[in-house]
Amino acid sequence: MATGDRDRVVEQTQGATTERSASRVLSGVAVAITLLVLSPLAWLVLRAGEMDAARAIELLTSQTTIEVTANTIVLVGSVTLLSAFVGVPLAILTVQTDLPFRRFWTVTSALPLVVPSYIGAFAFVSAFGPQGHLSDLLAPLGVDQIPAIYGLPGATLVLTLFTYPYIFLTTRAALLSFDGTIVEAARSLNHTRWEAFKRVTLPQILPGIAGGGLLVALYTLGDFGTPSIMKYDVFTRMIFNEFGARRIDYAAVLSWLLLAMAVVILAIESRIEAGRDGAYVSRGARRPGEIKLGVWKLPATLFCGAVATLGLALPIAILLQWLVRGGVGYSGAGRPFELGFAWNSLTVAAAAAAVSVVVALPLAYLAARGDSRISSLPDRLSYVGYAVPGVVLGLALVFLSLKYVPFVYNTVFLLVFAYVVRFMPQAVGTTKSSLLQVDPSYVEAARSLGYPPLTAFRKVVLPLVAPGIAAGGALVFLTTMKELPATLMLRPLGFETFVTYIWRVQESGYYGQAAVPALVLVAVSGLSMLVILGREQQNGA
Amino acid sequence: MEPDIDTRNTTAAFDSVESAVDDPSATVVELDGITREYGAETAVDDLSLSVNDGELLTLLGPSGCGKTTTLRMVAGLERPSGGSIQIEERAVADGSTFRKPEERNVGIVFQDYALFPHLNVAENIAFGLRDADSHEADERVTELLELVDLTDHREKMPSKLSGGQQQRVALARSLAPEPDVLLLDEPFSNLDVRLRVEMREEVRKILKRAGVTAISVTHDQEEALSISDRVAIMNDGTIEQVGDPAEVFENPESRFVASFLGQASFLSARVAGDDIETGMGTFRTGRLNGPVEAYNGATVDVLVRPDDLRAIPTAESTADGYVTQRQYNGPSFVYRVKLHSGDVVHCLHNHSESFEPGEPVEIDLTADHPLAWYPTE
Amino acid sequence: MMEHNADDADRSDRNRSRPSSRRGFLAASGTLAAGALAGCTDMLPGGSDGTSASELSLGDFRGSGPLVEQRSAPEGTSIDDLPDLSGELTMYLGGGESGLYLDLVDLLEQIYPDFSVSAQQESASNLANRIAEENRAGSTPADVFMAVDAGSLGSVAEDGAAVSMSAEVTDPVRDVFKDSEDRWVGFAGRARAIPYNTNELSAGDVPSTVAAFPETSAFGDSFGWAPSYSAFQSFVTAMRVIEDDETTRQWLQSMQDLGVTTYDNEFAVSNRVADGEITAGFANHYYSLRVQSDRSSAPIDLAFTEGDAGALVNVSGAQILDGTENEALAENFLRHVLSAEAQEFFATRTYAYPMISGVEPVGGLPTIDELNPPDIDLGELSDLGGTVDMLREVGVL
Repeated sequence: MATGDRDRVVEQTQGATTERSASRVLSGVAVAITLLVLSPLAWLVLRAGEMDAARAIELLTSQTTIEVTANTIVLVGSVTLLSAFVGVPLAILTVQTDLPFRRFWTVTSALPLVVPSYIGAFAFVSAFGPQGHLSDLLAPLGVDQIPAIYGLPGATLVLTLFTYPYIFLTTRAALLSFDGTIVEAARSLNHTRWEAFKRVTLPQILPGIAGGGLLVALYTLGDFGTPSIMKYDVFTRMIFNEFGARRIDYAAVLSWLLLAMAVVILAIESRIEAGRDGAYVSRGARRPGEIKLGVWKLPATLFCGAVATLGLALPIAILLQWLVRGGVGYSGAGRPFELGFAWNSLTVAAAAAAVSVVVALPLAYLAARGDSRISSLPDRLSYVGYAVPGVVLGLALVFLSLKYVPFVYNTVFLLVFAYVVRFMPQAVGTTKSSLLQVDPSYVEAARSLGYPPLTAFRKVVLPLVAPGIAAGGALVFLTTMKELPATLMLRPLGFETFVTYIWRVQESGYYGQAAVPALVLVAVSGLSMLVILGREQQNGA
Repeated sequence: MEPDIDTRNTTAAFDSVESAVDDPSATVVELDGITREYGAETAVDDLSLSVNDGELLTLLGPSGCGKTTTLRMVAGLERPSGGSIQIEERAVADGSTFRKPEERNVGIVFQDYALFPHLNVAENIAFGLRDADSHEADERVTELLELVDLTDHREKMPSKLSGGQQQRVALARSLAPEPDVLLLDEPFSNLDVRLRVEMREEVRKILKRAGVTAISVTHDQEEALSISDRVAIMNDGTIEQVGDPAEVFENPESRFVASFLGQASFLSARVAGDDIETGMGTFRTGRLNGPVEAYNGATVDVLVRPDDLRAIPTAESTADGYVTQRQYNGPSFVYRVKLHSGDVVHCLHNHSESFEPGEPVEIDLTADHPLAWYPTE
Repeated sequence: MMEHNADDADRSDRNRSRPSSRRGFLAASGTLAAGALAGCTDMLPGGSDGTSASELSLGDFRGSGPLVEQRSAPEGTSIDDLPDLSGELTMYLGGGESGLYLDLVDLLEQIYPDFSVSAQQESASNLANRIAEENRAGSTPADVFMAVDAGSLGSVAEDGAAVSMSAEVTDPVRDVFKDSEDRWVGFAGRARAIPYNTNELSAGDVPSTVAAFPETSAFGDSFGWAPSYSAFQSFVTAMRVIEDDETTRQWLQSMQDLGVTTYDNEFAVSNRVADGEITAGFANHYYSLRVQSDRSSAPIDLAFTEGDAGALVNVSGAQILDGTENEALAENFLRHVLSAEAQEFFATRTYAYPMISGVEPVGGLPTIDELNPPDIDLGELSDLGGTVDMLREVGVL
């Protein structure tokens, strides 16, 4: 019966254009959202334009710029690759094998995402640095030199440990909605498990891996804290130094280079994902048979344990140590932590999550159901914001809001908008993949039963994609909770959150005081991770 | 494949239920010269068709022929590039009007049923009962559950139902708001063979009881011929022939229809006065279904299906050709015979008559009906 | 108390036990601390609303702990002698360490129920950039910018975004610690210092110029610094201004050759000195005081170089931003910040150098007069960019 299917898919995809007015409204909304989200770039145009062209070319072609560009590319590449090598096996182990305590390892493998990478990096240096706990432990054993963790290896390791969960989560989602019968088909065609994986499973889950990889790569590109602590010279650090030297035009020109890299990353991911555009991904397909690990059970468990130890246990242990050590001298830096700060964090993060899922919906819908490459453009472009360093975004919004919408300046609205610009792409991704799993004929069925398009969408599609939307919202929530630079710049006067407080006491060297808020931050964000994993269960059922 | 020889009987058996229809000659759906273009490609080309009240009409054709597009245009899921569509004498699509699917009062049963997975059976069925209060809706759901014989499954989720049950729910859901016309898109393609035959009968029975006008789309001729009141054979965006299933099957008006229905072979035949000369002997022109004088001296192609022919074992010297392949169909064999003239024909035999590949055979024309023929292309 | 004069200062000096040498200051205070009873009662009253001016005493401004024991009363203009603060101020606070300044604001708000401050805290350079952007879009909503880094204040002043303050505000502060046009004024000083481990070295082992450090064998493979820290970068910038880029580069290189260990911040440097992990390092002076406040028996003391970049005294300062509608209130607020009580606050709680002569630095630190800071315009230290480039070039960063 397969003969009819292809014909039908083609006809249906084309049929989506029937509702011209509805789709025009949708496109209009999506374009408006995209423009709004990209509006901070206008500031970069202005500031970069202030630089003399010859000077700009000199800056862009200088030895330092070229070196730093190369460093950045190497870091982004190595973090993304290593994240795939950690995230994909963990996803396969927790979805497709008889790994003991699968549920437990699923949670521990996802949780490092809730640890702010600057805290993670700090924990790492405390543990493995030249004066760290490890060298303290090893010193009596006569080991006086441990391998340096600074530079590229350290930055790669730390960023990988705290971003690989993006790939872990998207790969899991791909594996869970993956039709196991085709693996069985491949094995029946005399493929070994490994060959079947390589030739059948991998191509099927590759878009999922790429979707997570995109977030990892863009995060790495835009992160300043970790490379700075790990002493690896990357683009954000160069931009940051220019800001420090108060040469905003330099910083703006360099930011464009950074955004150009982001666009290249997006283009690469689009190519990988291309095959899936507009298609309806079947769901509820049969799970492939569980892979028996056999003798590999122990190594696999150790692998999960090692990742959880480094990515989760270690930073928490360091935070606990700060807490214990935080006796006399570790208190007394300014105002103590107040519950109100936590409340502020929660409310702005929840608002950012709510707004993000709402504005992500049209972009995701257009990308999932649209009939051309152009219809996924708003979705693609919205990702650019994810790579914009927080400081750049902050200053851009300071200028633009004061200039054009002064009444939002110094209000939480501007802050929430900044979060939406930065983190909405995460909601677009999960919403889009949920939409792709909804049979397009549901809406048609509802309409033939008398419901206008929006009502049909609300009554039929929305309930089905709700878990995906919630997962996207949870991702936005937990990354917003961690966000520091834009928060510092754009929060209303006197508005303190978890991270601004942690930043303040850490800057003063009062680590003990940072411990409790940091631990609470990790715990609260950890709860939102349960929403993300909960959605999986619903899908898997 | 064999045509369903019970077609006429089945239809007759249900004619009694069709009393639900007021005026079987009234036109419910009227397509007039509809066209659908996708860029340079024309999917449906100037197609006209009318469907009568209470009638089940099937659009039958190979994939890509435009049948699904036609159905979707009736549903309002596609907008015609030209032509007009009327439902119950009301224009739903023409140059100036385009009624959206929700404004057409059509019901659709989708190929994969499109049951809403988050709603149970009763909620799915009640989904289209927008104006009914809950009590009325409940009653209507009960009624429909009885109609489709799923009274015990009221509270179940769609994922817990078998394929056949899902289809009956889909049917009930689309019938619930009493649509003017019901559209069925490849309704049986997701069912296994045994269930498919059972559901064909079941669905036809339900449709007839409900007295609903229906248009179905399929590429499965057996299905089309067995359930329809009329079939419309489509090719390349146009309708080649519309009519009673048996009539269409026996008198295909075009070579395309002929080759599409049944396991058709074409026998080249030279017309010589009152005789036609073929690779399996000479016959009288009277065996053909129409005057062939105009082609005197020329070659025509005669449609022969496996049940029209018999192979008889014979000596090499008297053979028309030899068996090249045997296809076992359970109760019967179909032999593929390569004639010395170069034509290939198929012969139907019961399973007790066995030939070996390579065996020389003589072919007898056993058909008891006039044979369709077409000018050689 | 009325304005101080030199005699007052001298008298109070005599009342204090002060080490005779410029080195070994902390050891002396440590001894004092050991003899003093623990349990200072001058804790901040925990947010008791409605406390009037008369109910707050000097003790509320003062810190606690061994380093603060037995201080005499500060001299200078008292808060009691200043006009009341009344109204609302919007303030940008530059630098994470500036969080403590909010405690002072809290105290002032307690004294004056009609006075309130909305504060925004961020890194000083980001705030300087932000003020620049705000001015380009219209004007900054902030009235006052307080920053731990004079360079940021200098650059805001250079942008024309700060107003000149009246002499009433800036007079008590010596010229080196304020802008020549009074567009910013220092209120707390931070001296570059050399914390050293007293078990390993004595005061005399630390050379009096940083130029001699690379040849100091006692420092070999046992010296620490935190080059990513802005105060260290200011010190290197000062060296570039006083000497030149080439000399600075060579000095950095030879320090590298000496085997310097890099830390994230100078609190870590100071702690590791106390641990004995390194014998000495570069750090702002107050970190060692904080180490000692935490661990009173820690074998750590401070040495200072003389007349060179290593003896740089940088300041936290404040300025009034252009476009403010609260200039008078802002000036009055800054006078409060430079009052005897507030200066006592900075001296005893942040261990900073007070900016008015009536208040002494804590714990037997040398006075600024006793130090020998280089003659340099702190506003010139804003070119951290070039310094960062150099540090990177040499491989320090």
